[in-house]
Amino acid sequence: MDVLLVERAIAGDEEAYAGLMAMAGDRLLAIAYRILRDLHRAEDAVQVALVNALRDLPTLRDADRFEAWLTRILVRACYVEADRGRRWNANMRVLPIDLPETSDPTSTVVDRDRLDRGFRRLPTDQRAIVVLHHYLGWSQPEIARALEVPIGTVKSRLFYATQGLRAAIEADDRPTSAERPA
Amino acid sequence: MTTDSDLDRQIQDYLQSGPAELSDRVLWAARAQLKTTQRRRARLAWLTPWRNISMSQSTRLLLTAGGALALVVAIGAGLLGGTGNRDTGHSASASPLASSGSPAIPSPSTASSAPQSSAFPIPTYPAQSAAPLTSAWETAGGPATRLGIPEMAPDGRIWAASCTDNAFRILTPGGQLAETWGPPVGDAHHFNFTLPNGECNGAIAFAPASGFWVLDFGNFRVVRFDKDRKYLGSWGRFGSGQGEFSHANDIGVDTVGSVFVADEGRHEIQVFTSDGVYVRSVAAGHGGSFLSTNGEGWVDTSLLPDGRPGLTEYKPDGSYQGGIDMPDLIPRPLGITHDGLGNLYVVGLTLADEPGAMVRFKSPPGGTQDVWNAGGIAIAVSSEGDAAYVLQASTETIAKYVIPAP
Repeated sequence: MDVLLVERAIAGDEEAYAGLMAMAGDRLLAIAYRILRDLHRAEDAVQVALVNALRDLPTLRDADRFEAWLTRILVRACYVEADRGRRWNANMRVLPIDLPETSDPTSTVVDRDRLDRGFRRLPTDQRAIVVLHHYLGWSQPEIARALEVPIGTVKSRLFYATQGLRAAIEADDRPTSAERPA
Repeated sequence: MTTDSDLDRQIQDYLQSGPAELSDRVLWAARAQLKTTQRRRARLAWLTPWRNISMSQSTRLLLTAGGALALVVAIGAGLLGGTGNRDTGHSASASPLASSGSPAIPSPSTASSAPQSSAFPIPTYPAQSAAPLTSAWETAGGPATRLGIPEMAPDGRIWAASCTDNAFRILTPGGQLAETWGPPVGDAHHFNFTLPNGECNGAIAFAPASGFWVLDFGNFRVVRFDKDRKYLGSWGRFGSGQGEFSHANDIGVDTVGSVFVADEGRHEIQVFTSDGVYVRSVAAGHGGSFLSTNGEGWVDTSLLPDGRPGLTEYKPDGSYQGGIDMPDLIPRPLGITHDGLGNLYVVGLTLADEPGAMVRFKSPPGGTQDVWNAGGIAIAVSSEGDAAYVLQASTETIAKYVIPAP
């Protein structure tokens, strides 16, 4: 990110901020989509984040931290968006997805579907940590600094998220009671 | 058994696919929303000098350098002629607190009459560790209850609106659910504590002699009852006119029965007589979502005049008293209340929605403030100031903290 552009934006240069929005937009959408797994809601979260970022820009004290700071604002917008989704979905009954048993012989695709189901079951705060760690490649201390949460919180969220995803992948591999040896 | 490295690889593969670029439509919508925000900010142009000066940073450096609190006060007193405190006879130079307990803040006269030329900063509360404070109990108002802002009634019981059945949960100081109360379904005065978008809130304010006022959040009105819970009247509807509400979040009452309503949608605090006659607006254009009045008409709210979260105080006549930024302790102040001794309590969340600290600004000024790790999103305190009841971020439970004596 262009630090000079960030500094101009902090100083109130609207053109500079518009430039930052255009530059950061794709990256923000990529992160929000991976957290929320829904394009429209991800777009809504990005829009909220961009507006909130301008509102809070005067409080940014270090232009070098802009990317992490903006990511934190986006993650918070994702939390809100996910919460809104929960309210709307409160009366919806989740139907099980029936995977075709033999339609796709490659275990990779099956694992991916299982992973997707497992990921969607994770709380939003755990999803965010997974995305920042595995998609952006941030270390746990980097995530803790960016989100302004204790490192222990990052570790525990990542641990439980990983546990949940592992369970999702391995659940269908476990033998059913009928298959278990007596 | 999937190995750790296999699982990591699968997660990374899973996260690879996604949309390529942000739609221009989203950027356009964000810009349009920003324009609207900027128009609103233009009304706060008198605050520009504050925005242009990175005083939070410089003030922080001063404060952490040691002895700087006194310096800030001295500067404040020097610049402002020492007239910035409440009318209690306490000197501003003794402490960064105003007599109500608010930190060093511009004088009413300077702040209200010449803000355009003033570069006086909003002080930043010094970074410090919060003292541990363990809750005495934590309780819900019943199964699946989502609660609004708690308030302590004159009899010492804690009332909190429940969005589950649009009635109040009344808890004993010991945490037992004593009663559920509210006008029944079908009654014209039945409460609605949920907005159509699912947002839940509700608030109540008690005057020991004259009953209580309920902020009927989802019906955009205030409902007044006497101390025997007899309906006395109501006012308000959705709108932007005087006496109307758009997103009213909090309510307070002072000792003469003036009713204060903080409206997040209108960005102001409306003041009414006890029976709902509009008197005036406070903090017009920059009122916070939450408020507390100390009983004498001083009102504190959760937004700084420049639009950032913080704590701002207004005089009984509605003029600006001052504010403080607390980015290290309570980046998002949400709950504000006073005890019967005039001490001011603030709780809130961090930017990551974790519980922030609880800060007690003591009254009268001159002493230190207290900081505890007892954050939440709303707070009620006993009139003696020896117990705090904090609504947790989940909105499902209230925790009681025993407060050490000042």
